[in-house]
Amino acid sequence: MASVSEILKELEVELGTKVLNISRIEGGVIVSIEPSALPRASLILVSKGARHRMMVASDDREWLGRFSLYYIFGIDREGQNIVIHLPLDPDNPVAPSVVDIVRAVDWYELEAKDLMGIEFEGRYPVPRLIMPDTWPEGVYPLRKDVSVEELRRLSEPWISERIKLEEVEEIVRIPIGPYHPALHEPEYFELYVRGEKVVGARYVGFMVHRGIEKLAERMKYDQVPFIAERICGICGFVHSTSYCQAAEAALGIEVPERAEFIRSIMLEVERIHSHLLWVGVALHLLGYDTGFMHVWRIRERIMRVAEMLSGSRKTYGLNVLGGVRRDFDRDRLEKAVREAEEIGKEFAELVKISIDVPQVRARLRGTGILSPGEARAFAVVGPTARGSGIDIDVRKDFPYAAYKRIKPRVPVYSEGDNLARTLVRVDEVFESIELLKHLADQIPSGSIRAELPPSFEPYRIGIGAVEAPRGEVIHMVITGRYTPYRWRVRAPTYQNLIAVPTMLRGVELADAALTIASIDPCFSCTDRAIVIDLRRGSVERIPLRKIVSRWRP
Amino acid sequence: MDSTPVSASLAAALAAASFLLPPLLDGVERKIRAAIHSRIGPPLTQTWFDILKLWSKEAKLPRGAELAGLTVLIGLSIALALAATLSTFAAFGLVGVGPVVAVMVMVFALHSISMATGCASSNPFATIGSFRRVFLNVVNEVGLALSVALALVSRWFIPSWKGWALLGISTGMMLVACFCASGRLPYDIHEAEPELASGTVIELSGPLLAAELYSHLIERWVLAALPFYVSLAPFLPSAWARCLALVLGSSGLWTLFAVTSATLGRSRADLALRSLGAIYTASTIAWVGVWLA
Repeated sequence: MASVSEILKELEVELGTKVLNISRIEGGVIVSIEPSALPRASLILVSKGARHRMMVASDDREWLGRFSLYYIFGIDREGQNIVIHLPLDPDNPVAPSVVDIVRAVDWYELEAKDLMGIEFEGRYPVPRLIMPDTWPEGVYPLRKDVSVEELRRLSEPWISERIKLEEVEEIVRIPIGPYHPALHEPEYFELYVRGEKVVGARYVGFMVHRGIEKLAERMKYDQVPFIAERICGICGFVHSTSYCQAAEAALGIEVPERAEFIRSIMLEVERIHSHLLWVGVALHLLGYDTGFMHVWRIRERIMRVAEMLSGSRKTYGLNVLGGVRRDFDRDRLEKAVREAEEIGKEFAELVKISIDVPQVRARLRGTGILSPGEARAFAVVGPTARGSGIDIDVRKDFPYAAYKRIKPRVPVYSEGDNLARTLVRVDEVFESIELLKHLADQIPSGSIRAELPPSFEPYRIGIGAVEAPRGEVIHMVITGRYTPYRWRVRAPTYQNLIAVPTMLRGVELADAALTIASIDPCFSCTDRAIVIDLRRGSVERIPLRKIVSRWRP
Repeated sequence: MDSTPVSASLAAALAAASFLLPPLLDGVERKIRAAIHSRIGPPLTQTWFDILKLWSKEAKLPRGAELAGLTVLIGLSIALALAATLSTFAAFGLVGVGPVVAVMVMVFALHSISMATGCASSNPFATIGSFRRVFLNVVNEVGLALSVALALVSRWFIPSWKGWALLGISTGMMLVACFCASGRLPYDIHEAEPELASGTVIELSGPLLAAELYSHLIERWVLAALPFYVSLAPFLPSAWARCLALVLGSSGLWTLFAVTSATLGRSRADLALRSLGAIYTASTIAWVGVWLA
């Protein structure tokens, strides 16, 4: 892998006058280029070993009079980003497609087309990815001139149409979803099977798009961590941390060291919880409910640890811009570490028993294979990548919070099957317990929250990345004067999901549910309930307080 | 043959027990599973409550699954008749080749009608579940029939050591076949909830699901009693002893099956075929080896 300076030099030489500007941001550089130079730039970056991490489309017409595309490439060895910035015409935003060069941008391009109205030249025609077929032409939800109220009015009629469509089944296809006992969120996989062998698969998603990025554009900086933490019901803390890091980087806020340690401690607690949850679910999918029950019994203990430290079993609400809301008590921290050690011992015994169950091992080994080459092409992240021999971890490659001082050991397996991904997560539980000990041991004293500047400088870019239990989470913030101008969230499932149809090809139908689950997908954990009356065509939203009052004894 | 009024009374009592006990034994199984899971579990009578509750619901069948309703009711009739027949044969000491073959024919008929229930549905998950069942039964029914046949042959060599050894091997094989046929983990691949969303019974609800559940539990009782009927009952002199052996033996074996299934994960159609094929082949070779010795 070449260094950042070598790549920059080559970009300048190869692209010449097509390089418009180069500027530094925290953790990398932004290289503005002419749109026509994108394929050449992508080729250079990929050939030099840069990894595509995210692409962001932004409607910058208000302040720069144009649209922008930001392609974020990571130079893992140096922990630096090279952000390729493409300014696009405000009236006719067109960019060349680079999906043939960077396979991982496929969904990003489709999403930018659906949500921002950016056309990509030279790519094969594909249906819409996110917006339904019945969505009106020319309405792009993430453009600044489209209001949330307008989107709400437009979205209601097609929800009922979509539901009607999804009820149509044909015998030749095996539908997994939109609701299925093995998948606890709304997603739809269409499996094409010959006998019990899956010969092809198609994913249809984005049935519930909560528009969180759009909502945040009307929120103050300090309100966003609360909505960010609700992106996921299992690993929400990674999102609030990632948002805070991005906003702090953009606004130049120095976070106190103690606050960084507290964030890292909670991130590791969250990782242990998430992996225990996943191992339990995987064992359930394999029909080994005894293992599932016991793993979840152990998981209960780590939730009590989280409650002891943060006051909440889940959705900790600790992060604020510039630090954390509450400090950790020394005694409680020591108690938490002792409890985590006990959890580790109990989990080790259980893993040994569970993995040795013949049916469990036989169904994990050699199923759902994602080869290292495929994993690299799809730019998958987290345990999905590490199970395919790709040694990436944000904590190691782009150190943040307390990981700048304490380096984690990153387990990597090269087999690429369901067993490899399981073992990565199992090893990470033990590694997180070790990290917890070190973090508790080395946590410095001091303040837990930085003073915020009196005013925020607009149009600055910040990138925040966190190694979530499922993989790399990236948030990018373009600042506004009072609220984020543009906030982009990329959860790891977005990056991993695209590889699932490849993993499903060739597996037995029995192992399809486990293979889908092996990326630990997270689709839309905190959806709100709606009631659809198909006969009358009415849609009624159920507010949270009504649900709570129904459940109250 | 004991044709006394006592035997008749015992036959009636055993038949009644075979109708009433299975849901209670299922309650015991749920308690055992819960204990292994570190849970409290439902009360012992919960399965009876479940059946009665389902029975009280309205009967509803989706379009394309009408035939499945008929096969469920036929299956329940066969299951009740099978339990009553086995009880009568055991009480009256009818344990020769003829009665055993008659019982086995009814067992296979019950399995066939269960397979037909899934096939009769237009739901793709039910279809897949049924084909998995057919796939598994191709091997297991052969194993079950072979083990019963070998047990019958083994009885000729008793009381020699060879006879007891041959009976031991064939009974062991029969236990595996009965365990597999009972549709417990790891061989519940026709229902496999996380994969097939209940598979063969996905379209059933209300009274039809109650009937299917009840006949399946009776089938489990018959399969737990079968090894005792074939391998032990011929050597017990009185009707009392035979009936007691069937009740206690089936309850004990049911418990053993419950513990075994709770410690295993779900198999896959190809893995199940391979493992069962290996067990039956090895058992048959061992049986032939002892016979030739």
